[in-house]
Amino acid sequence: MLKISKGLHLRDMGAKTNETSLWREIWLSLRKNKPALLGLVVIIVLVFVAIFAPLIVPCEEAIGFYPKEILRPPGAQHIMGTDDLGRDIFARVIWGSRVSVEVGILAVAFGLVIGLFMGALAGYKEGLADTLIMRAADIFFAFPYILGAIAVMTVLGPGLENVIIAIGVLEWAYIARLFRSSVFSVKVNDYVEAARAIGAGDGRILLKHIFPNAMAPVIVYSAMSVGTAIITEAALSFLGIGMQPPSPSWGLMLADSRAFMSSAPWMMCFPGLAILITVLSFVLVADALRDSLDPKLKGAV
Amino acid sequence: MSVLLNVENLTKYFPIKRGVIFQKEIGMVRAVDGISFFINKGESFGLVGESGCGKTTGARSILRLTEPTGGVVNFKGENILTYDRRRMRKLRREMQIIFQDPFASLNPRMTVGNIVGEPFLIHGVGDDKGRKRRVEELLDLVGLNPEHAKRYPHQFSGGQRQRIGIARALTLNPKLIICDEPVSALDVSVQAQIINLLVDLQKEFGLTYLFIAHDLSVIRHFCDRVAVMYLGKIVELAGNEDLYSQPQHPYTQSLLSAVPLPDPKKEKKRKRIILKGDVPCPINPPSGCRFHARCPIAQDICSKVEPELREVKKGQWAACHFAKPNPIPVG
Repeated sequence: MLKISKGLHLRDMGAKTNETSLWREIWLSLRKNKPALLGLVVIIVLVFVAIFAPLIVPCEEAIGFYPKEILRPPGAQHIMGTDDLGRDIFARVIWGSRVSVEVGILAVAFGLVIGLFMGALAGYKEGLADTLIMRAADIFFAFPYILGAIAVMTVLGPGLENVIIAIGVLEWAYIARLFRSSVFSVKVNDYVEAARAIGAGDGRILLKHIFPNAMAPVIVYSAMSVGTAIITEAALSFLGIGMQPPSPSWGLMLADSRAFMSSAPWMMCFPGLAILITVLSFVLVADALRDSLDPKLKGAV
Repeated sequence: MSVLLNVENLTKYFPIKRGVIFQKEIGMVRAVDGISFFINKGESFGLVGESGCGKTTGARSILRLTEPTGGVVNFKGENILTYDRRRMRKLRREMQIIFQDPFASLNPRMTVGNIVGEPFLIHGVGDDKGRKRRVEELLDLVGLNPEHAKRYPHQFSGGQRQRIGIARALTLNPKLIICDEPVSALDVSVQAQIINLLVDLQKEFGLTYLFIAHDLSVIRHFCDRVAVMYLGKIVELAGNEDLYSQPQHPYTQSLLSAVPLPDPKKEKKRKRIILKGDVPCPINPPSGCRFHARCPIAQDICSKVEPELREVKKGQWAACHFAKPNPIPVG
């Protein structure tokens, strides 16, 4: 083995031994941010509640008709009161979380799959593919978000799957545009060139070198859009084109409560609070993610 | 001595386009405009020039990291510009590159071990265990601790990172390594370490270097033969000693006169050639000799006839109408 005679030995110089992968980096900075940590806890609780809803309250309490229990205020028997059909609000809020979590996660995942693919294609290939994809995305930007969702829902008809598709279809354009610009700025780095120089193919360069370095803004945006998707679902259901009665959805519950706003305010308060807390949690987490992943935007929101 | 790399009339033009959908070309940036040189096996060949003269573009064109517009790149006697993707991929084992900026050339999300070992994965060399051992050997070879394989690039200093880049370039036992200003981003003391490492590695493995730099003293220390580039063309090509003792081209002379001398008395006596103006734009290079507008000895002919690169003295070529075997220094 060769001896490096003239060079200084660098063996024991150099810094700490902590490793930093993308997710570890995120966790380290989340840990320091109290509000974000709270948001994360809320999100985890929410997901558990959604998964284990049948163990918390039976489904019948959320969708049946109980003439004797109509419009009871919050009390020992019904901690959040009951609605105009005698259904337990607590049960409906719990079961409603299922819809929200499902829509929030699946719609964004749907948008991510299309958006990341399109964004990577546009950003990496440039040229004609870029022009076509970005002009197609421009068409989606032309619609105001909620109007676009309404338009898609009217075509597809109501239902959980269609809400997911409608939101995902709108979401992809935003993700594609964001990811494209991120890919643009990452792919000019020397390490991408170096990968090409050692013979790496396009697939490997994209997956190993560009994706991990270009994902940061998309992760932040996705966390934010889960919140947006939940609000959009609530809005669509409120307008009567999202979830259909009697299925428990927070937006639908708000719509039902309009007639009883003064006589039974609890009908409106609890689903409203559920939406508020959920969306706020996602925003807090997203904001902390942005702080840790994008130092240029520090202190925003 | 056999020729390893022979570059003939290599050109790289970047089109300037205007328009959104219907683009049309409105001009060309002539980054590299017909350069020819050869490199012998085991030799260190230097390429110097100011920023923007086409050194890096030339090097990247040789590796086909950017596709050259025209010319021939003969590597071991075969024109690699005719290779398809698969043959090119195989060839990449034999020619490697070390980058200028050690902070941009290492993927921040990969461990050092993965960075150095990636070429093995791509070319399917060895098994996991063998790869790991080889990576550790390589790290040891470039003067790093093999245990550093688990760390990430940001935990290293500039010089250490450059060593990682060198280890990566060495992974597949290349014949030719293109060093694209490998030391210009480093402290002077670290520069010396890296240069010495490159020299040691050359002795050990019989490497051939194409060494790009703008620092003439680094080139002088390191290279056997040197080519000087100006605005996309080679203006002078000579053996190290000849170039530094008897520069033929007025541009080379002015470059050398800008190198500070360590002796203040000599420095005071010396006459510096200070060029007028800036490097012209490579979109519309000057007619005739590209240097004529800034040249201290330019005549009428210089703006009309482009001088060929001709052998003025044995082994020393210059692209100047007035180059003589024993030139009188300009200025």
